Amino acid sequence: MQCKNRTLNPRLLLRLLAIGIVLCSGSAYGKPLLLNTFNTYPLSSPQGTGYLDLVIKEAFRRIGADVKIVRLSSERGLVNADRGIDDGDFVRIAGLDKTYPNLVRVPAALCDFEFTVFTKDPSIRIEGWQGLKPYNVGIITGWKILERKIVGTRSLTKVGNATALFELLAHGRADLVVFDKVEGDAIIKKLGLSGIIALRPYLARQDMYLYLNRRHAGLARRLAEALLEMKTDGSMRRIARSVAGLKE
Amino acid sequence: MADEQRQIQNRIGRRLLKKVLLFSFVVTIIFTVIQAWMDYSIRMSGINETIGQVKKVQVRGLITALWNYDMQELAAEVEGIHHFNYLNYAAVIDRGKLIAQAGQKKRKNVITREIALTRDYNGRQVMLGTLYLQADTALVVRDVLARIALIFLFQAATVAIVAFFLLWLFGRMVTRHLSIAASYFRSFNVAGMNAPLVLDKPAKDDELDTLAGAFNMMREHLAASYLQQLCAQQEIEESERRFRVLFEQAPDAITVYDQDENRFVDANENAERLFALSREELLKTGPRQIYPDAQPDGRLISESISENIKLTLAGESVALDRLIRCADGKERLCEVRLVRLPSGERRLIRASYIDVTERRQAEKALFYAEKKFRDLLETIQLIAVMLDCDGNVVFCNDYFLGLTGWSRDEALGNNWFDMFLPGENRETVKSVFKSILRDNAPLHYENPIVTREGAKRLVIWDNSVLRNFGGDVIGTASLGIDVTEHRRLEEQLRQAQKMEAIGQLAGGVAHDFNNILCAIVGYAHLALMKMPEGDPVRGNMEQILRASERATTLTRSLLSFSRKQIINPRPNNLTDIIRGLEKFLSRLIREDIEMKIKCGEGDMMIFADRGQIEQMLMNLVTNARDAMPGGGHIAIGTVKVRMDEEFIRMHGYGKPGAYAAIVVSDTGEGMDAKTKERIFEPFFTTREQGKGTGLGLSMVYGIVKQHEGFIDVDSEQGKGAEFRIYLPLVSAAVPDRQRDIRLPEAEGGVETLLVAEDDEAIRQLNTELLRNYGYRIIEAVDGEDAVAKFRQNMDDVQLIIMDGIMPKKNGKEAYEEIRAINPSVRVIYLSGYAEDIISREGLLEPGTNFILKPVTPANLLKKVREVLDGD
Ligand SMILES: Nc1ncnc2c1ncn2[C@@H]1O[C@H](COP(=O)(O)OP(=O)(O)OP(=O)(O)O)[C@@H](O)[C@H]1O
Ligand SMILES: [Mg+2]
Repeated sequence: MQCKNRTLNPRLLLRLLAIGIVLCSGSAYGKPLLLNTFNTYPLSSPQGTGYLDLVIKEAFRRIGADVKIVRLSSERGLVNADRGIDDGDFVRIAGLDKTYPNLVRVPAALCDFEFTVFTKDPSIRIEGWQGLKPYNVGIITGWKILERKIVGTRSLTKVGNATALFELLAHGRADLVVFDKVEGDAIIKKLGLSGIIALRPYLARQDMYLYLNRRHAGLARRLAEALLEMKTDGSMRRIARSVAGLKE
Repeated sequence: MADEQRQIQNRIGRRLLKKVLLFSFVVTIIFTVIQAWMDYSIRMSGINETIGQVKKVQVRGLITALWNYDMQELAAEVEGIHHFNYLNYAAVIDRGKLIAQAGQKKRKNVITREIALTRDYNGRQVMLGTLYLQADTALVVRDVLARIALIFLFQAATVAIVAFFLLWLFGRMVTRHLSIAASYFRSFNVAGMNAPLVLDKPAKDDELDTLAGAFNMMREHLAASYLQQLCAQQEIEESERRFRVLFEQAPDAITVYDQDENRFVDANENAERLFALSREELLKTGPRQIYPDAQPDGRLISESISENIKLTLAGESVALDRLIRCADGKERLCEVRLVRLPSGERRLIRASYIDVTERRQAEKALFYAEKKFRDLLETIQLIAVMLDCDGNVVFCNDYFLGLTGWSRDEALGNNWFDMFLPGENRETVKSVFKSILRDNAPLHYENPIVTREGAKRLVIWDNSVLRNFGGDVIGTASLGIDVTEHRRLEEQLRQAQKMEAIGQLAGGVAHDFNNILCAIVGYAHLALMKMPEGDPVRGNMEQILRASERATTLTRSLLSFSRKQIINPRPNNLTDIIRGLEKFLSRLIREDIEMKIKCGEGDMMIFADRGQIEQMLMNLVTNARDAMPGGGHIAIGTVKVRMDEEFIRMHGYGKPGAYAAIVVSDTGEGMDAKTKERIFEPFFTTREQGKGTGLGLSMVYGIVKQHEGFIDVDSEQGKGAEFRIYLPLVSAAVPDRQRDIRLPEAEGGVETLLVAEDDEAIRQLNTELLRNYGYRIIEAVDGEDAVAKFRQNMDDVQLIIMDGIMPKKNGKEAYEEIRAINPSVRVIYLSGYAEDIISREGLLEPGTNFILKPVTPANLLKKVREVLDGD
């Protein structure tokens, strides 16, 4: 047997080689697609264990592609994806393809964001975007909806990442900061900050999507189908459950 | 005084101050400008440094902020950058979009830099944007100017302070002492020369002390030399007096002329005497007044005087002969010497005058006397040569140079014996020269000299020794006469005279001999006639007659040589004669001899006896043949030659005129000079006894002479011989050529002839011959018969042919009688006698027709026709 194994049939070898080539070409571009994100745990983590990391990887796996996820600041993520430096960016509100013409939205929401005001002052009550005006506000650079909606406040400080944002708040450099509820809670917990509260109700709630650079436009449909499939076959839910700290 | 001191101080000090200030100011400006330029370039490079710093320090933050899109950070960074030195504007641009900026952008006077902002991302360089920087150079300039202004201000102040301090110091250390020295010098005089100059300062051995020391030394020297000067002054005055005496007592007349005053300013007593003027009068005149205008040098004084003054003033001493005009109106010739007198600025000329009127006259007389002799020597047609004691040529005249062909330069200075004497005579003549020098003898001598061409000239000398004033012998003077030509002529004359004498002798002998021969022949004939046939003596008789015939020929040759031969010259073309003889001549020579005849162009008319010329040619050709026993060539040629003085001078014979030259040359054994000298002598022969008579060339010689021609021979032993005969050409009266050329040897006629001949045989021979040629003949046997027969046939007889010597009546007597009957009758005499013998006997008159016996038939026929046809 061993002998036989050693003298491998050349025809078989040829066949194996052909399959290999087919597989490689099937994996879209050979190289894993580079996606960036600004999300933090529990949505995304450097280890790739965040909810979105897992979902996206699964979806790409299903269409036979491989991905690599890097972390960038919000605005840089958009710009890189738009300029084709990266292959895609997540997660974003819908409609960014108007401002960044090279981005193509994968038309299946990955999750939703509740844009929530965090503050140390429990007395503050905010009703709608207009309610922010009398305050010194902090946001993260590149969050387009916030950049659009929050205008005319007393001051507006933009920082590059979530940690900086909550440090801002913790050190009193801003009266309030606007951020995603889920991630905000996770960061407060991670930094061990106390006295920071998330105000209810949230300012807005938005479905969040994955964007691809235009050159991958062909993938968008197939990805959306894969995601839908994941939703219906319960894979999404299973992943959500596996990620600690992510509530329903 | 104090005022003057201050002035000194002020003047030098102020000038010093001014110059120091000016200089410092200029230096300050230069340094400031250099500094400004350095500052500027440092700052400009500072800009680059700043930019480098921005790159090093700020760009990283900028990239981070840009990467994170931290616009506030970015703005802060850019703001920070813009605050760097000289940066007036900083901006970040990404894809043409201005992202952040700070400061004011300018268009002019800026340096711009762009720095690419990139970040390493995922293993590649991501272009994030460009940092655009502007540095304001105007700011640099402003800074530099501000800084420079300050520096300049400080430096100027420093300079001013230092300068004023210097001024003060200078005043204290220098000017003050100068003032003291000045006041000392001002009061310095001869009397106070012993008080030294002392300065108000401790001695430091500086320049001022040196100056004072030097001055004091000078003062002492001055004092010493002043003393010396005093002594010298006295000496000069004394010398002046001495020179005055010298001047006054000088043997020459002396004047001193001042060019600026244009008059004499001094004159001595001799000058007064010479010019016959008092000193006062003399000092009112100048050189322009003392000379008459015409001067011995041929130039007008008005022209030359300024030039001579100028020359003299230029330092040359001028000496010239001048006529001067004295006050008494006389003119004197003076030797004038001009020399500039050393006299500082004044332009003085000393003139000294020596009256040479008498001396010059004597010199002139001597000169002309000498010239007379020199001219004589130069023009004389004699050789004049002077040699020094070594025999070198010191003088020779033109005649000598013309004779020898050397130029005077070549001849003078050369040794006479080496240059002008043939080697073989050199030593003898040298010893003669020595004896002349020693004993003044021999005074006459004869020796050859050689010319430039190497020809020799024979000269007879008249020598005398030359002596100097002391009477010492210094050489020889010789007059020579070239006797070369003379000697040659003498030689020729001698030769001619010899030939003449021989000719006379031969002629004389021939006459007598001919007479004897006639008798012999006559009696031999008689004896023979009377002898019966078969007489045994008859053979002997015939031998006698044959020998006599030979003797007759010989006599005739001799007569030919002595020119006693009777010839019948008439115009003949030489070419025809030669052509006609050609065949005969060729029979004369042997087969191994080749003969060529080449006659010159055209007719060559000569007045000659054809037979004689033929005889001459035959003799020459025979000789040529005999000179070539082994065979060879004979050439006969003719050519026209013009003899002129040159020809005659060259050949030593001849007479001017045109000649036909006959040249007969051969390639035979030739002859030596000795033989050549004698060949024309009768009986001279080199042939063995009995072979030659030695009369051939004598005959030729006689014939040539009789034709008034010349003969010449060129020959050398073993080199053949060439005989040249010149016969005078006759130009006029070219006779009938036809007749000349084809002269019918036997032309007859129908005339009646009277033949008188006592010799039966001859008479019969002649009558038969003439009859054969058509003539009617009447015979006469003697003189009487001739007269009788003429009388009978007086009207018919047109010509009488008569033997000159006949019984009963001789030719002449018969002729006289016939002439008495008819004076116009023509006669031809036949005779064995030469013409003069006959004429001596009174037989003939000049112009008589005459044939010499023995008569050849052709000759007779020819002669008969000639006489009948002649008028
Ligand atoms: N062409 C010549 N070459 C050399 N020698 C000559 C020539 N012609 C004449 N001579 C010399 O001159 C001499 C005299 O000559 P000339 O004709 O008078 O007498 P000859 O020839 O000796 O005797 P002849 O003529 O009576 O036979 C000769 O003996 C000969 O020595
Ligand atoms: Mg001869």
